Amino acid sequence: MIELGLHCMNGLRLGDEPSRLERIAKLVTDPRWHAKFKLINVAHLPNTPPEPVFTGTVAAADLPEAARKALFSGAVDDVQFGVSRTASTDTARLFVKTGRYPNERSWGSSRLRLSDHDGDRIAAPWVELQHDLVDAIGARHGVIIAAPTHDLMRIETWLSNISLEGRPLHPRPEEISSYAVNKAKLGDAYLRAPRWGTYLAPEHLEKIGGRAKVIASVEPAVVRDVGPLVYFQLTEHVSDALSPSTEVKRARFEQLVAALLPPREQS
Amino acid sequence: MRRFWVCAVLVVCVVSVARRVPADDDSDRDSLLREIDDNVGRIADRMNGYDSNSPSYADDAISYANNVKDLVDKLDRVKGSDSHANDVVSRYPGYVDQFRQAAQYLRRAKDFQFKSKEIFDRCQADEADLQQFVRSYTGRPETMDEGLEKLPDKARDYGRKGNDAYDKLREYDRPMQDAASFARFSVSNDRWSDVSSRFSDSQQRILEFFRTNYERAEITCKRLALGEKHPDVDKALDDMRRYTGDAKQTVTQLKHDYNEWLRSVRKLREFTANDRDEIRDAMCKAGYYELDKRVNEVADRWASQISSSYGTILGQSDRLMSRATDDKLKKFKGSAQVREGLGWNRENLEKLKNYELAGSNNPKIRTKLEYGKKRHDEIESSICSGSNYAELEISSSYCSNSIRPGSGCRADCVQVASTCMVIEIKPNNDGAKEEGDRQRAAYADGLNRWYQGNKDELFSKYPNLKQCERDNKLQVDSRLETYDFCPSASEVQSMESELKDTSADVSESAE
Repeated sequence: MIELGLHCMNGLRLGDEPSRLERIAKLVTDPRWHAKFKLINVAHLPNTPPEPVFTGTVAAADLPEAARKALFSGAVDDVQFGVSRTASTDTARLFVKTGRYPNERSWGSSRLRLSDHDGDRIAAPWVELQHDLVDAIGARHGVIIAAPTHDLMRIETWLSNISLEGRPLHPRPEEISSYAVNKAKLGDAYLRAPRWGTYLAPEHLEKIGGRAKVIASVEPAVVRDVGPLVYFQLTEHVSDALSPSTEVKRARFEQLVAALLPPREQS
Repeated sequence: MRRFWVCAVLVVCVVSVARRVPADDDSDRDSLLREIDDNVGRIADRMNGYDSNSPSYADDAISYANNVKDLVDKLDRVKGSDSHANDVVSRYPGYVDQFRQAAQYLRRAKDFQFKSKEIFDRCQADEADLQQFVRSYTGRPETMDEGLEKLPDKARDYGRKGNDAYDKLREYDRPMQDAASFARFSVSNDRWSDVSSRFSDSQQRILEFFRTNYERAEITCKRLALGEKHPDVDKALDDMRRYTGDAKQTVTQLKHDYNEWLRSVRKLREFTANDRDEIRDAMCKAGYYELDKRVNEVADRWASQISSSYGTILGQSDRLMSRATDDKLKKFKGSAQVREGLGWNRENLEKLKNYELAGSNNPKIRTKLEYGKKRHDEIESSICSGSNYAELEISSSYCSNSIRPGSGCRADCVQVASTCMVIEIKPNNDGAKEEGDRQRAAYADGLNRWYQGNKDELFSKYPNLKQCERDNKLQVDSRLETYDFCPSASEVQSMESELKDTSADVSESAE
């Protein structure tokens, strides 16, 4: 089993960007999710009336309007779209922080559980969909993570560690903590360490020597522009994402951006 | 001359009093503001966990609110131009009125909190008594005629009791819903924010306790209210009507009837196997806040299924036993096998009474659920001692809880060091971790927002958090601390009676 997840950050304040909200609302029903969202959970801004609220499942026909209602409400701090409450059938998620709270930026995350037999076929259009999402949010940075467990994906997309009976589940909990503590500066002064897919803004690329240097040192399989960002993907297929040779490429990429990583926290 | 001195002394006195007034006002004002704040804090304390405390705590809280009002009246006289004092004078009387009204409704809701549980317990006890009757009539052929006559009456008696109980239950429902819906208090300023979040939390728990037991009572009392149509009574009457006493008093017939009985026993056991998987599923997947409800639902359904034939099956076993010990048959090998089989299986059935039939009152299930809560508390006290903050409440001006809307933001623990670590403690399952992810993110954001919005207020309430301040920023991280709760298949099996396998059929060949 492998899970793919997106975490993109330092986006625009979506409350002021109705055309972007419209684009995101349309993406909610995009077939490239390879799943149909049925659940909507919203967090409301403090001191606002707790509206709208979505209870139970949302019928497919009502989803476009419900998604618009959730995203456009001025009282909504963040929205999460889900497929099922049952873990085994909960295959996809989309989370959008609207950035409506004063002095905060929007960010987004999503995930997709892939089956072993046709992961590559499903992953390719899903990655394209994430590019559209990153662009709609106006993110300045992002990563696409490939993880072997759901817990690791939770940690990577929420930037928050999980311990089980006192043992951290992430191999580098201090790295995750460094992102959590510097969340507001990610995509600005700091970057996340690269993952299977990595979005970089021109100013960050410039600081690490430019696109050509990344291509020469890391040898990514995919390099393409996504709006103002450049997207690097280490292997063409997700089925190779967790292989040792991919980890070697990732480590080289991490060395390249080392100066832009936040200081490590002791967890 | 004397008049001159009297006047001079008076002038000096007046001047000195006039000079002293502002100083006295300042100190009176400060002391009144402190007292007001303390009293609001006492209100919050009284509302903390009100669902499990004495109803009179609401009266105490109202009386503290009255103190606040009196103190605000006094403050009005010395408020001067102090902006905070003016703010308190203008806003607090409204808060007090709002609180007093809401607290009276909460007190009323509290009066109803345990009513549904009382009714559930009563119906469950009546159900057990009814089954005893079913067994006693079906078990003895000599009383079957009497049983056929009396069991419907008995069942109707219990039906009336079930009906009355169900009517009573519904009678409680409306005023409970009204009280709970009017018992709302939401003010996000100063320490009133603590009052609001604790008030909402208690309101939700009181209502939840009532609703959960309402649903359980509804199922149990409604089944009892079926009277002679109660499935177990129906089965028993059918069984007695079909019993003619003409069964051939042969050992072959005895063995045949015994094997038939075993089939009913096996069916009863099948229910427990299916529900065992569902209980495990609920314990391994449900979120922390829905766990009890989901487990209870399965356990109650479990009990309901077993109840539908329990008394009759036991009665039939009594009857088979008396045939197998009859002078004419007891000498046969087959009769001995039947007696042995009945003993073996009846022991199992008797055990069901202690666990499965108790439904959500099953002591082993209760113990497991309590274990989860205990584990949560143990972890909280082990990681959250000293200068750390357990159950840290974040002002509702800066945080809202999307998992339990209206109940405020309360982090299980905030560990204080150079970074403040917000920790949520959850059982290790997807549902609970999902809740935890949303909560910890909201709480970490809430602390940052509070710091940005009013750091003096934040630090006055939680002074140790100053340690996490760096470069005009609060350094906040968050973590989910999980514990193993999902029971193994064998652990769930241990929540049932320790049942032996149902014995095999006896051979029906002639002896």
